[in-house]
Amino acid sequence: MDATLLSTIVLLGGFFVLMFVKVPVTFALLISTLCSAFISGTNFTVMVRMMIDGVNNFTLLAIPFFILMGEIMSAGKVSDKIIDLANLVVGRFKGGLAYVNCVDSMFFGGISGSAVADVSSLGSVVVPLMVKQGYSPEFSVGLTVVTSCQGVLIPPSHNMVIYALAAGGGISIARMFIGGAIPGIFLGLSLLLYCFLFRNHYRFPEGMRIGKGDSVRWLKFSNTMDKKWRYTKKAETFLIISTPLFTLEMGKCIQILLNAILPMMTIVIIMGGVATGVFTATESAAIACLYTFILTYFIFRTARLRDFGHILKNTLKTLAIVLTLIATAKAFSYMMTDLRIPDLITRTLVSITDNKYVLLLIINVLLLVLGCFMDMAPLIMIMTPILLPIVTNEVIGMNPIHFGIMLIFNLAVGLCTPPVGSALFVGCAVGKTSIEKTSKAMLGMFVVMLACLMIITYIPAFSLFLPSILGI
Amino acid sequence: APEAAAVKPVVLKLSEVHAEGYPTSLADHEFARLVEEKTQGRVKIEVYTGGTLYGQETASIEALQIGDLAFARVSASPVASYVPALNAIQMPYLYNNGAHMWAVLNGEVGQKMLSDIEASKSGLIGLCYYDAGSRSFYLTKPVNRVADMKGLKIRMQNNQMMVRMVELLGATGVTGIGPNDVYSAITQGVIDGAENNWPTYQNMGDYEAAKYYILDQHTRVPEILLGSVEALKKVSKEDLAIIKQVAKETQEFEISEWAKKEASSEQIVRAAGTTVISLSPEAFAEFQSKMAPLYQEFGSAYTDTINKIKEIGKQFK
Amino acid sequence: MRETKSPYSSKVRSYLVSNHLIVDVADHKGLHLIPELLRTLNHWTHKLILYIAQVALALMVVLVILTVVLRYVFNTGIGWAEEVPRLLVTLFAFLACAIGVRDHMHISVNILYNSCKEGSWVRKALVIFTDVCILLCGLFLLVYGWQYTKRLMSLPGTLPMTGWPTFIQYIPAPLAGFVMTFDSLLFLTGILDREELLYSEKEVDYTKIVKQQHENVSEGRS
Ligand code: NA
Ligand code: NA
Repeated sequence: MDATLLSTIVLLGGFFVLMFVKVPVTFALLISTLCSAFISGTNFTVMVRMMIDGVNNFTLLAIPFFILMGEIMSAGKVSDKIIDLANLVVGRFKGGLAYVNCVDSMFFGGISGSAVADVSSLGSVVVPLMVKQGYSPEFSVGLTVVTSCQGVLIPPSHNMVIYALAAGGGISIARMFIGGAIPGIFLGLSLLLYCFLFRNHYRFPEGMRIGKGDSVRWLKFSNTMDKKWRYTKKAETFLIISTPLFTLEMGKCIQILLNAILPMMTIVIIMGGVATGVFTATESAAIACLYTFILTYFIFRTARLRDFGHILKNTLKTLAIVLTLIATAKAFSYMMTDLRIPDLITRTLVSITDNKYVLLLIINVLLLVLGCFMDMAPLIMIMTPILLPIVTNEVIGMNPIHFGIMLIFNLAVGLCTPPVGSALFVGCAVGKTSIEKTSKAMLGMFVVMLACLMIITYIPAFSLFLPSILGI
Repeated sequence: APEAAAVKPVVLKLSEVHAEGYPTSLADHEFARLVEEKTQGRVKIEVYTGGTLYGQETASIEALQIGDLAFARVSASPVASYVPALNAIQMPYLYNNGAHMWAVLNGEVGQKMLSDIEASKSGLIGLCYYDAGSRSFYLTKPVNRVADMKGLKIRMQNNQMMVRMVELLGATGVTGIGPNDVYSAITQGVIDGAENNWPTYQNMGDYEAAKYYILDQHTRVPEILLGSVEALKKVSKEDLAIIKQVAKETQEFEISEWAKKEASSEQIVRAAGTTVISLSPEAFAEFQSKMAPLYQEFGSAYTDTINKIKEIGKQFK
Repeated sequence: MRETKSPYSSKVRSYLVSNHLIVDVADHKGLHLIPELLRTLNHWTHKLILYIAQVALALMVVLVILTVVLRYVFNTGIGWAEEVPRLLVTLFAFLACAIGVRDHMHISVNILYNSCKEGSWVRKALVIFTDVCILLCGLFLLVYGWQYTKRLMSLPGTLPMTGWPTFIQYIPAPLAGFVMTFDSLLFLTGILDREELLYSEKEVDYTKIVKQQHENVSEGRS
């Protein structure tokens, strides 16, 4: 067998086998790369070079900063404030909490770039409330998980930075950020519409109308609360914060608004800075860190100084995963380039069909399947160098920004699907539901997501309209 | 000869950060083609464009040093950390025009620097120079004299000398804005403009945001095709000589491709209604005269070389 | 010679003991002293790299904010403000990799592992195989990272802004390689307990929780 073919098989096959036997993705990438390099006679020191090259990048600094920002926010317990605001906006309608669940992720998306963070911080408050009001636990968890995907699309999102890096630096992070806003909000609104259309099918309970009588009803409701109820503590905090809502005090409403808007100002800092070119993505992320630090430590005072060690540790933990992956994926993709694998895949795909729409469908199915088994960051790092040349060549002629949004949307769906879906797992653990039952309850929502995915894939305007009118 | 064909060719890699179709990429392919032809297939060069092999030029230089890469096309500016004399040819407002620069580079001064690269024990071989044109300002306001530059905020590369240059002209150099974000920074009024060569000005679409191209041609930093001492040990002395010879032959090819590229970019930019301002000789002299402190600060170590370059310039008024 | 023990020094001592940063010679005699020494050395190594990583992270934020302030308030910049954070993020990334190995933070696909019974030989084999793979990665970074650094050391070349030699960019690789090799060797020999974590609380195993719930539900039905 010729050495190139053998090392191609070792590179790709070795990677999947190693991953299947529980070797961490990072090291599965590195070992298959080294084995393949050994066969093809490539010097090992090149791989050291490539790993360093992957992380020795100023833009990459945005990732630790965005993650640090998110950690500071969650230490400052911002999620309660976000839910209050969502409740103020849509809580009063029939099925109010279902809408709150859709809207809170839209707001939270502007703060966090992580679906898992969304599920664990918002979900642990909203799910118990929904269950108590009479929503089925599976539906509540499912909706929380699916809506959380907005977090990775609505800016800021460190996954977009990873994509821009994986694409080789020719892509403006500002454009990626702004491009993700409409698809993210579109997903949220579609789910909102889905809840609205099926409000009678699911027999949604009445919402909490803001009025004098309602406050009484709400208090009554809280008094009859089952003492064995598992989430009493969190629900109580929620009640304490949200009681003013139902007494319709203008002052309190404004307070809720302010409390939620201050954290959401980070998106203004980041997007304002990045879109106008005042700051680079990295700089805006650093400034957002400073802002959230001041917010939680001096304005809200919801975090204590000794929490800071915890914040740093949590940041370190996420980064250990993400940054190392970037380093080893770089070595892996060097080996792929060296073996001309992207060319091979392009030629194979184009030989199957030269129909643009069919090709895009194949790519979507491929990504969805891979997304069911693997996490987002490694897939972005591995698939971008392979797929970007395919979609940007003359047959498909896709804009790299549009492709990036499509890729991230696809992989976000993977976060909610079994067998491996980190958002789904965390959601089921938070809501104490089984994965099988929850997935069944989510079928309708999956249909909504896939429909959104198709629209975003085939209508570039969804991703490109905003960047173009803002002139960036 | 049949025996020659039976010998397995030495396969060498060339790294290029520019995209396929860019003048330097075309020259790389031409270089690869000629080497294969002239060595009768003994040496085969694989060209990797678009930074697929090494994303940054500095990275590819280090790879050359170690011998992991055989060739790289890079800008002269990072090579200056190995051969400091190369800083001399990058000074602003040094050349009167392109012909002046080529007289320097192909003359004694430039060829000495090229051989200095190999003599520097850096593990690099300087093969030839390629054209990268000249960089000029593009702004939202017209500039005809130095006085017009006052108070302008101009995006510069993160390079102390270049920032100092605009400061001496009365403007402010803004660093930290990536090339992809220059357009929005101009439209949002964060900066009044930036500086680059014709193809980049056109390619990035920046001409839609900054409508005045001030043809001051402040710097002309050439590209260099580098080889690796370590990796080229794999080829015979005769083939190495052929490679060196062929590299020099591709220079003219690249210069003409560059001229074509520049002309087509210029045409697109002009057709879009951009005002191109050519500086009067007096104005150019005024820009030049402002650089005295900068030459003191950054050029004092290479005064001899700079004087030689200026001497040559007398023929290119 | 008897020391007079101040309450302060005993506090320090108890901190060191509880964090496994001191070897209690009395408790570990003879051959048992060697693993204990290695364990203590490992803890010191990780204490050190954790501090370096945290300082690097804080420095990166400060430097980047400083650049923005200098640019918009004082209209100047610092030339090395891009180069130094880049060196720091490289250092940080590689240290984080080593930290991730120590506390098993790196993501892996657990489908096969979870489908096997707890305590089964397949699970044990998978864990050992993973450790061997990590050991190989550590050795690779240590040996080839050091080779690369050494070769660059012998060649001229400086970073454009700071003027520092180019080889310093590569030091994080052998450094992380050393710590990873050290850790995985101690895991493989059983000197370090896999369950004992340094940086984090034990990761919540959501799959396990969900599985448990599922079992409870089906038990309830039958
Ligand atoms: Na939600
Ligand atoms: Na986000």
